[in-house]
Amino acid sequence: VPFDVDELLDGQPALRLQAEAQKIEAARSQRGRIQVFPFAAGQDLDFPFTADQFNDWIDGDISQAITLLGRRVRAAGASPSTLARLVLSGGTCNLPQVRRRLEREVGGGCIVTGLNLPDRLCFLPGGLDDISNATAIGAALLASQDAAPVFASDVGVRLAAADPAEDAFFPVFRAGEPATPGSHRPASFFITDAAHGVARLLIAERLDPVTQPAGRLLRVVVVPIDQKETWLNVEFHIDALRSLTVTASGRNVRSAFESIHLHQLNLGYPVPAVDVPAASRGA
Amino acid sequence: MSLLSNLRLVSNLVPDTSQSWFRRLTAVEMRDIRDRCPHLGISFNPDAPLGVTPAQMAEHRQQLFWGVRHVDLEAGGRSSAWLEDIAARRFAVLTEEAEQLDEEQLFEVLCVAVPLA
Repeated sequence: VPFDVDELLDGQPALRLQAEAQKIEAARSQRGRIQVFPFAAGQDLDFPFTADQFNDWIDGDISQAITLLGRRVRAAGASPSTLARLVLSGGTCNLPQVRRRLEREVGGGCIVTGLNLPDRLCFLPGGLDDISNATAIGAALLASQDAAPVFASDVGVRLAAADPAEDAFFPVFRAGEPATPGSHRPASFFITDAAHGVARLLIAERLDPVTQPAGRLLRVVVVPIDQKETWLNVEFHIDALRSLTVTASGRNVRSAFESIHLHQLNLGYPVPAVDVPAASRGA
Repeated sequence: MSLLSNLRLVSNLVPDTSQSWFRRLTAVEMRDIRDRCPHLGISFNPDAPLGVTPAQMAEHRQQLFWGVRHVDLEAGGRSSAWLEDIAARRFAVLTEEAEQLDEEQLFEVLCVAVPLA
């Protein structure tokens, strides 16, 4: 403590590797099985599943992704029917369900799963023309034009809401905001229960407020406080390497607490508006 | 609603009934309210105390001699007491609640279970 959510999963390499392998296995043979002995809290994990179950689990996520994609396309002044190409890149796109639904609901016949780069760019054997590299190539091209990275999702703090139906996420950095080194954000939070002498600060990121009202947990930070403390002061700082540094302390009694660093922020580049010819816009 | 977080945002506005429970607060809490609501009429001035009880004044006076204090995570069982408390309160009813918890709430449960294991 504090511990990183990724470290928590990394502490279960067997689970991570099996999940990956069994996902592929389910796509191949229609069933998979995850077994970890022991798993957590002295308990074992033995979890068989079918491809249909797996498809049910990811169906909601795919729907959300398609909704987000539709919004982005419309925000660029286009529509799914005017898309010339929909380039799929990354391991998730290899899931049959993902391809089927994108084909049916968005891309029609314009889905692209391979790169057709000019010869002079294909100088690395097995390299740049691999579709898996499309995102990296795009990022490199943007960086070469001095495009500055921005937050790809809101980054903030998950809070204990008084009303369970209420949004319990406090954004510190907003999606689209430049991740400028030296950026500094102070915040103060009321401590609802100091009986155990700790404030529990949950750093989270949120891609979409509708589908992730409380965000996705990145790190649990436990800050020692006095048992009569009522406020936690927190400082968020973007350093020269664009990592997020978080320091925290009780307001009345100082916390002996070393800063924590989040190195893998979800950053991206602002994409310029798509120039769609007027004739292609349709009605 | 978060299972783990004990942090919230609160309004600076206090309800009409506040006077009745102000007397039950600690001096630290009263100072916080005074700082956020300077027009409420709360003063720890020893010559003219306002809106504070003798016990709150005494606590405030004692804290003036604290000097610089630091609280350590290893002191007083801080690093594990909160985990055990959440586990005792939440895990006892987890089997009934599990169906209603969303993915993120279940992940918070895992964040408690793993360090305790």
